[in-house]
Amino acid sequence: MEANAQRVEGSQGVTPPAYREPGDARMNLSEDDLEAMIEIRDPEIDVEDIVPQVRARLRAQHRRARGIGLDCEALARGQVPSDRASPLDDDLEDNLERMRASYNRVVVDLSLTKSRVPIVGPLVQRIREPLHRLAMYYVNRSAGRQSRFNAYVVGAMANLIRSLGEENERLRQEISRLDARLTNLETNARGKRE
Amino acid sequence: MLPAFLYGDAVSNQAARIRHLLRDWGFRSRIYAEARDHRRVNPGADYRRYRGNPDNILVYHYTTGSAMTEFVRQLPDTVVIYYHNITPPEFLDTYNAAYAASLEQGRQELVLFRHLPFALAGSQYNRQEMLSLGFKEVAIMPYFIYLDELLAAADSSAGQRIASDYRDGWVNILFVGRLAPNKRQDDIIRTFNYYHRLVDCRSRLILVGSGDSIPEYRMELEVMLDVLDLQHVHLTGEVSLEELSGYYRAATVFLCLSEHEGFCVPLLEAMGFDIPVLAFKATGVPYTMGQSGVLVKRKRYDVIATLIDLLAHDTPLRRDIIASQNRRLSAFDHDSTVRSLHRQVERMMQLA
Repeated sequence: MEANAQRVEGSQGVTPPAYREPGDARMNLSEDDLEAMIEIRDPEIDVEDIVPQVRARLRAQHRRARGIGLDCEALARGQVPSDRASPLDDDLEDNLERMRASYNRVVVDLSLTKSRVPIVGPLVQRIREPLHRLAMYYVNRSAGRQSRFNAYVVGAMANLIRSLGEENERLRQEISRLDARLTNLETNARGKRE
Repeated sequence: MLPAFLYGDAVSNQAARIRHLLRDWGFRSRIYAEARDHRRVNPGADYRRYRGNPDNILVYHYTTGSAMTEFVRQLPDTVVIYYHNITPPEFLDTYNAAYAASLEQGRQELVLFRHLPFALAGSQYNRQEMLSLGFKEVAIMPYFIYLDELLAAADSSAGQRIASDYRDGWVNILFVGRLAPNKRQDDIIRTFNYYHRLVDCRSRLILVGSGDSIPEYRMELEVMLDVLDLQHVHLTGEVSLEELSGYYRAATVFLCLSEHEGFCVPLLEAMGFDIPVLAFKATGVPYTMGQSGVLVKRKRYDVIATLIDLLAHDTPLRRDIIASQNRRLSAFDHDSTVRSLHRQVERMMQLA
């Protein structure tokens, strides 16, 4: 899942909290960048001593990632690791994303119109509201189970679609290879006849 | 008086401890709540049964929007708000609109009490927020930290079992807190994804905390783990005190990437177990950390994972950070917190 950027405002008069910048994935962080990012307030510990160690380890990690075909930039940004474009059809990808975004939107909220009956209206309202809330309680218990089931379905669909996509890609490459071989054979055969 | 008097909840524990001390000092003290957890030995009484009295002092533990607010405002008692902070509703908008609405209501209704001559805040961060809203006099009433009890519980059979299950030379990254969007366990998972794949595959992530309050978020985390195909992540759910102690004992590094905390008691609990703490600098977290631990100001998962690596092994940095944390803990020792409560009670009695 992608790391979503969220700007969160703090309370009135209080400094808003720091927020993430999803586009910030420059791999070559300078020492100044790292010093700005890390804060150790104990005056006996110097951040400047730690920064070179962090940089050296980051470089080693990036080398390791390249060596095993992992997308280090994607990992650093919190994305699903991938070193190639998605093999999925765009529409299918969109629908999968919509499923992920909406699988848990099954909970119901209270939606009670005010009673217009004069005099007894407020009494009617006081009786209706707890009854609605009671119904909501049971409905939302079921909704919770549905949401959980939906989560499993979304997970299974994602895995299935990813597997099918990878299989399609493999078959595409296989067909391409066989096609090239067939063309080669036909060319050779034509050459021999001539 | 508080909206929910629950088992294992920091605010509820604080209310229970205050009740206990007040009784020790000769006061009559009771807890009234809307929701009461009967796993507590003394779960208090329904708040609607409370009959106000102008001679009483009522401490209203303010944590969310609730029908209790209007009830309290009508009472003749000397009311003292004890503010524990309220999660900004935008964190919950996409998960539970009703819950988000009650949080929004809570934030809006807080100002209804700013005319009161005296109020309490659980942290410096909370205090600043109250002053910015127009509260006149706000004193900090620190949270009691039950380190002695936690350390003793770690020697129980349940605590020892968990500690021995996980002490196998692997790096155990721990966070303690209910699964909630503002606590950003999803970011912790992203960090662990990087750490496990590129730094140390002999590692596990342990997320201790109930997922019951926002089940939609828990499910999102589970789907995330499936999509990332990430192993060695344990979502423990609610645990007992003994089990919690076992997880602390087994932890190598404590990682907090919360984007909203009023105080965050687990930061100090982790320090009590000599676990180096690495946390995102947001809202109440830096106030709780003081001059201890390591803070990060931006969420670069590779940098955070690398810092975990530096803290996880027996390096000079790990030793220095633990030493700074031990110094920080001295500000929260039990006796000084009791003295603080005594001062606040004397102040409240001057108002009554």
